[in-house]
Amino acid sequence: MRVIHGRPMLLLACALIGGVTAPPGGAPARGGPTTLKCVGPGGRGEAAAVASAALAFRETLSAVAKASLDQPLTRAVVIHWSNLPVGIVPRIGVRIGDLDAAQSAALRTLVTTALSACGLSLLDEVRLADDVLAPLDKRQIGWGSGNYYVTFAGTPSPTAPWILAVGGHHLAYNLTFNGREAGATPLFFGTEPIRFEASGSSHEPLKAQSSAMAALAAALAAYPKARLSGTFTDVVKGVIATFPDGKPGGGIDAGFPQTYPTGTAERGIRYDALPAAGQARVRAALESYVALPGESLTRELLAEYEAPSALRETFVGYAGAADLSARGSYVRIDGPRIWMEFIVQPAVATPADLHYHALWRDKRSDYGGEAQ
Amino acid sequence: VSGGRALALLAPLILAVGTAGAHPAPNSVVNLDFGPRSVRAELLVPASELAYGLAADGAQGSAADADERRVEAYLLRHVAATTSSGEPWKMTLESVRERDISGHGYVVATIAMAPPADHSPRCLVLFDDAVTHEVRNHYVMLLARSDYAGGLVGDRPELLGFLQHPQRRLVIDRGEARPGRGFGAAYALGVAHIATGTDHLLFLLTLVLPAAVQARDGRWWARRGPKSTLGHLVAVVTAFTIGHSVALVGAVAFGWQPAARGVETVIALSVLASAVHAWRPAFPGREGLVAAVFGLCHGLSFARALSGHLIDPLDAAGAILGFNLGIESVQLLIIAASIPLAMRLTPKGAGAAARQLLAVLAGVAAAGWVVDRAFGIPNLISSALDEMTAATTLAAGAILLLVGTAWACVTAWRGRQLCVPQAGATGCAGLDVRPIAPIRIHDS
Repeated sequence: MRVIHGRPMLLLACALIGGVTAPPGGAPARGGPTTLKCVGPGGRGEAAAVASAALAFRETLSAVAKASLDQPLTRAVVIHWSNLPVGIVPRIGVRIGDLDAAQSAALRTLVTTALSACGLSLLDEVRLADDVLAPLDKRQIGWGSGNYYVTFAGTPSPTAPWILAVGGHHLAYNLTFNGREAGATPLFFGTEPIRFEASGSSHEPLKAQSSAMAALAAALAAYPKARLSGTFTDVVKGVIATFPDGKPGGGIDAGFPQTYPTGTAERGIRYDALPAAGQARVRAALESYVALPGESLTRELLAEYEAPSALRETFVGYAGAADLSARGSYVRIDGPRIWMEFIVQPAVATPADLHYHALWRDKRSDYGGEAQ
Repeated sequence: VSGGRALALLAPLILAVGTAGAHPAPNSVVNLDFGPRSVRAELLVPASELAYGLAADGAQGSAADADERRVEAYLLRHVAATTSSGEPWKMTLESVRERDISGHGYVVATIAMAPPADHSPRCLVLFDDAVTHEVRNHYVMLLARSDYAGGLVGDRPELLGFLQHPQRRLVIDRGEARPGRGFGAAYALGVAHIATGTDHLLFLLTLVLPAAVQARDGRWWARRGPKSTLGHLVAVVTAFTIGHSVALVGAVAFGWQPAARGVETVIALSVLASAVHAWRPAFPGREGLVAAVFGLCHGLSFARALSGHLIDPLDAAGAILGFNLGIESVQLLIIAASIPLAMRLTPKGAGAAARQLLAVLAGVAAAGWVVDRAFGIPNLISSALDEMTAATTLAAGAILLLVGTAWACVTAWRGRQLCVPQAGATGCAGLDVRPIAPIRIHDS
């Protein structure tokens, strides 16, 4: 049964990823709109290639920087990511802004190997957005593209488990290689501003995900059951504030492992209850998140998320404005393993505007199952 | 309720949902203080998120109600406690006020919670769905902030758990009440605090560097006898103890809380004053007074290590006593270890050179701290000193004792060599340097 089912699913997933990552004109994805074309120099996230790029990057660093880069693969280290700027949550690891040209080039090779073209572009765009915020940083909370960090939890190896963490404000890649489980999560991403001009071109870092989620919410608006009760002001399973010295400090993933809703209440509408077009939008939305890490990391995950048995137990819901035009607009995909959220919040630098937070967790394989 | 006026100011804040902050969606905290008969809960609820809860509850509140009344009623409707068998505790809202924390407006409410008669306040089921009944991403962080009978007397709270929709109850069991645990924990805290409080110890040590000498005409001139030296030491240490004890009681019992940076800067200056005094008499004969006055400042700094939230006066008294005894034990140990050396720091010769060298070292340390604390510039000196551990303090004490004892032995041995032929059986006791009144030519 497993063999019969597994093989076609894997092929299906490969075809899907092929669709997602293929250059324009490549094979279109199955059944429905292809939302994301990852064009560019992104890699496939293969464990051996990433480990060798990671070690090559490490070799370019000073002894002091190596000591910051090398961290043990422990829960305390890996949960230390945040959506908040580094002035509020200081990060562990090597600061990207401190790297010289040779080190930056080696890091570029590493992230290019680990991330897909979409994931690489997201990294660049989110950092660029932070540069737009930097001049507005009156409280010195650490906006700016230099304030992003790289951390190795465990030693990069083609066979032993380790986690590559790359992140800063509005971005947390936590990619687990050789873990108990294929581990692409937790993956947090967001952007402020939503769109902006920089050096003569326009940018919209979360365009793929926000349009896929907006398309999904629009499809859900016709179903009262899809509307989630309550108010949403942020992602639900994000970071948790710590209170050192009795004052609220920045949030890290101290709530890991999370508990998730069970049963059918307050989870929205079942995937099965949607027509084919709506179902396609669910898949397109989840694929827009899954497309970010290199495909070696996500191939198994996508196959599991889109297995018919999994989709039958997948719920989708929304709150607020279905066109994602106002604060409190929220969309969620919640399956046996998948947990994806998208929220529209007021902007922090310019409160009249909006900004996005997005989170992808896997109920089973966050941190590759290596941080229990 | 004393919070009425504060809430009148708060009303516009509550309505202005989502005022910008570093955290667009901050979360709630409940601090619990466990006393012998009751529990006090301090609720910190972000105003921006509370507004959603109030709005969702709109149907239950009359529009005619004043805002503060609505907030009070809302909190009492959404926060409750029962015994494990479901009997309700008595909840009394003591105060509601507004506070700005890290740039975000919070409503801070204090609720006195009392169990039914014959029930322990250490075991309860706490219900709290304020805000979380409406805001799905909101969570409440529950902390045990103080619990004397459970040994929680320091400034670090203990995490009890988080509540996020749909969870709204937490079973809390603080275990058996054992007041000895509070006293023991306070004592241990005092020991640990002073053992890593290099600035406090250095102030005291530097102040007693000139314990064996007497001042005259702005110079360290004559030597004190051993009895007088010991008496002087006891006087200085006692004065310092009185000073910091008074401040500690004031801080814990009456909430004296001056700005930490100011207090720490004065402490750095106190080390500097001691260092100057050790070089040349700056306040001869008034060491006790100086020790007492600066002791006040040191006490205010100590107080921050101790929880100021113990709700029972007897618990607070026990904590202060235990903490103070812990501080005293280490202080006396270090001072005792320094006695042999202090005895050798004579007005002239090698003793004077050593005293001045130590004064300079203390002065350098103080300068490092002043630069760090007054001007906010961390430096090599201050960071090295602030990284001292209990082990390094112990080692420093041992070195003081060793150097002092070795020096005393060498002096005694050399003294014998010189004295024996002349003084015979009487040894050199008769030749020991005694204060000799100087001949003064230009005395007025």
